[in-house]
Amino acid sequence: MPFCLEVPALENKSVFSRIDTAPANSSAVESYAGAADGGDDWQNARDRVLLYLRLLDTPPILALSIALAVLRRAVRQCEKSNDCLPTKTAMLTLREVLSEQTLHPDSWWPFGDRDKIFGTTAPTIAGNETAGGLPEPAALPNSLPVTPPIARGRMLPEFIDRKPVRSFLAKLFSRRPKAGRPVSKKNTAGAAKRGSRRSTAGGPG
Amino acid sequence: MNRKPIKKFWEKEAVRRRILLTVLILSTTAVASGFMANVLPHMGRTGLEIALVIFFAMLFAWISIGFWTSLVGFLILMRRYNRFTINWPSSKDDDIQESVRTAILMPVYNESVKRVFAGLRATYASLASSGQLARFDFFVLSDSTNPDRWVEEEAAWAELCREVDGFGKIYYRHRRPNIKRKSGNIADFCRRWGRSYRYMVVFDADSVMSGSTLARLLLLMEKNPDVGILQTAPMAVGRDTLIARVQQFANRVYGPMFAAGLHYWQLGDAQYWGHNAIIRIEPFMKHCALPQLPGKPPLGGHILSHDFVEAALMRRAGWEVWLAYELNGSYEEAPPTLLDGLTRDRRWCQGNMQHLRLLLTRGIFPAHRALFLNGAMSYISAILWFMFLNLSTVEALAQAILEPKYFPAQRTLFPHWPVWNPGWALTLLASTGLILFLPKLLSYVFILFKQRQVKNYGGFTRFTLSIGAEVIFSTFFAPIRMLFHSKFVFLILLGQKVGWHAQPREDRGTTWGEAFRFHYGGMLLALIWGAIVFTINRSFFWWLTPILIPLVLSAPLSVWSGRAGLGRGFRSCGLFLIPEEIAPPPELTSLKAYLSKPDPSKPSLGIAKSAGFVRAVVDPKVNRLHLAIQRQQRRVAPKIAARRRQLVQKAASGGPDELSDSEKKELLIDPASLSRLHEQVWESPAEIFSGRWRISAP
Repeated sequence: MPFCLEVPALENKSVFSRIDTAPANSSAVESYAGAADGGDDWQNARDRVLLYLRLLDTPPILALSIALAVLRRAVRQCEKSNDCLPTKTAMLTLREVLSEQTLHPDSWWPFGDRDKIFGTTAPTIAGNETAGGLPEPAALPNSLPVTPPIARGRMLPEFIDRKPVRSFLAKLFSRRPKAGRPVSKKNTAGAAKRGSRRSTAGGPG
Repeated sequence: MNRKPIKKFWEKEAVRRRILLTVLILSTTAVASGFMANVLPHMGRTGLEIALVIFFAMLFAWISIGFWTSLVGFLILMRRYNRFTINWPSSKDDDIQESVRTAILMPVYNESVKRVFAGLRATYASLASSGQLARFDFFVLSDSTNPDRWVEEEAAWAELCREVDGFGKIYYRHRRPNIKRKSGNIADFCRRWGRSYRYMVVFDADSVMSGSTLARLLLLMEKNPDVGILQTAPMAVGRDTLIARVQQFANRVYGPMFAAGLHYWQLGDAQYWGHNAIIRIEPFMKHCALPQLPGKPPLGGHILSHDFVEAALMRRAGWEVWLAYELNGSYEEAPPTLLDGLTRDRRWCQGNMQHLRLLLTRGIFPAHRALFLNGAMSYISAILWFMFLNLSTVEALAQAILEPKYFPAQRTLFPHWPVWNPGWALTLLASTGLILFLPKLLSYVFILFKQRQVKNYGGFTRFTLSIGAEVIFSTFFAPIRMLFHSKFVFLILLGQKVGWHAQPREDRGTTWGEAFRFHYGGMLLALIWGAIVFTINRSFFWWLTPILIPLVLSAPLSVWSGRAGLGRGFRSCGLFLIPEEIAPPPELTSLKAYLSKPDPSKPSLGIAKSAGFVRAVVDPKVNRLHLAIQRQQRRVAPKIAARRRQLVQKAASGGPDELSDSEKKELLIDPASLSRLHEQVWESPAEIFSGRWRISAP
């Protein structure tokens, strides 16, 4: 298997204990029954939630427990509104549940020992997640070693004189200040400026 | 500008050797051209014949460079001693300080992800087994513009890192604007991380090197502090198509001799071929940044063939550039089909033609000026050959149609008799053939009698047959290449520039449609040319058949030579075998194993691995990875933010088919948009989820 999810062991009861697995009251039980009769919409919602959990390589029993909790909560939310879309509500709820539990989205890191890779044991984005959604991307871990720390250097083209004969002739016949004739400060400053610009831009190339 | 103006120990010898080469080329050319003039009916006295002799002289000089280089290489290899070799057995690698770090760079551009990472992994494993891994870091420098390839590369990088525990050792960088193509990609690395490393080994996407070779390169650079670039002579391996296998065979048999000959003339003024070489980063950053040529492409703009120019600039700054021709364990792949090879040649042709504009640059060493000229001549020679054939045809037709002038305008005692001496013509043909084919014979002799490694090429009979078949094969393909190279030079001179296409890294073959589309012009030309000559001067027609037949057959030749099945058939017959096929080195064995390993994971959600963009949107793991690789969310102008919101809506409701590649890339570079799209797709009703995004729950 190319990707292995690090999930809490099934024996870890703390995970289960924090997942809402029981209906709160008798009306909720009726709602679940109603939802079960609700046809394709809730079936799709169930399938979607289970599929998402499966893609995270969540162990089957744990996935079922989470899905159950998610669907129950989704049903309760749908009771409150008339225009409820089961799949959408279930997926939003799934993200809420995952954010609340230790199965935080950022701990789904599927590419090996997360702590070793990120160099930290602390959940990097804990507390930054927005309610009901995935964490804001700005809060994503920035320490994934995709590239090493930058050690910035300069690499600029040097001056290349492709036509040395022409430059020689141009130099030979160019106007030069005669000896003893004072050069105005303005001209000197301009030449210095041009010179510095040329050296940083790498010449005419 | 120059680092060390002092003369180096090898420079005097290099001057002597180059004078010798020039004398040898000029003398053989003069003799052959004189002969050519005598062969012509008017002894080279007409304008047309003078032009013919001039073209012949240029072409003969060109082929005699190769001849003398190979001959010298043969002598060096037979002697088994070269006092100027860079690869002296010297001290051990434990002399190298721990702080010396080397980066292995693999620039990629929309290439086969599986092949790129298999090559990288083979090199990584080889370095690990040689115990040298700690000194090296790996960088995959992606310029990929295809959004699917981009995501696929990221997933492959993460998977490779996880499997070899390579996080913090293997890095991945995706560059958004592809300024200056490969050279810009390398320069971008240098600016960001160059200061952290003393050396970099530049790979191509199909390069593989053994760990011991990399360690040896590092040691040689440490022991030769004046060397700026050390180039290896990579062996072409790993292809199955017929044309690639023939090239592999030619490269393996004739390559070492030619490389030894090149080393003899070049010494510390060698070429850099753009990959499979180690480079000292500090002088490279200081002196080898490429300028932009004034004017527009093809002859202006960014320099396409950056490698020759970088070597020349490195040398101009006083650093040496050497060819480590005896070093094994450096591999590359040949283009799988004739069309792929020609596409690559088109790019190289433009780059080499650009070099002509740098020919007179102040400070460039004469040897590098000669290399610029030599590179350009690789393509210009094609058009010279084409012109020569055309002039010969005109001469032959003129002989057949026009009445000979026995008494020219100026008074002479005797009439001018046009003389045609077939014996001389055959002698000239034989001597040209000798110049072209003797190097092949010498390689044969060297492997047979000196190396005594004929069993590594399939045994005496098969090796002999392979050499013979290679000669026939190269003779057949030479006119086709000539015609295309002539066209390339012509188009470049007309101002048509070339695009940047990914080089195929798999044996995909050529379809008949592609072949006819590419070759129909040449086939038609050859048919018309042949018909005219056959009608007017039949005796000359037979002289032209070695050119005309391959041109007429170019489409079938292109298709058949690009077939992997045919190449494998030749291999099962024991033809075109190379030692790397008979006893593959560990790096190539592991490369093959990685490539042939079936993908363990089934495509999740019915999405193929190659559908990178859809995976990044839908698959929570790939989505997570891509978001983690992206830099932090950037603030963007409200207009851009609004456009991206619209894009998310468009994608969420319409599916991936509604988006262009640039729109997909825009979503991929914006973490917030991608995250939002991921949520919306998963929340979408079944008709969009399964219909538009074609996600199938297993």
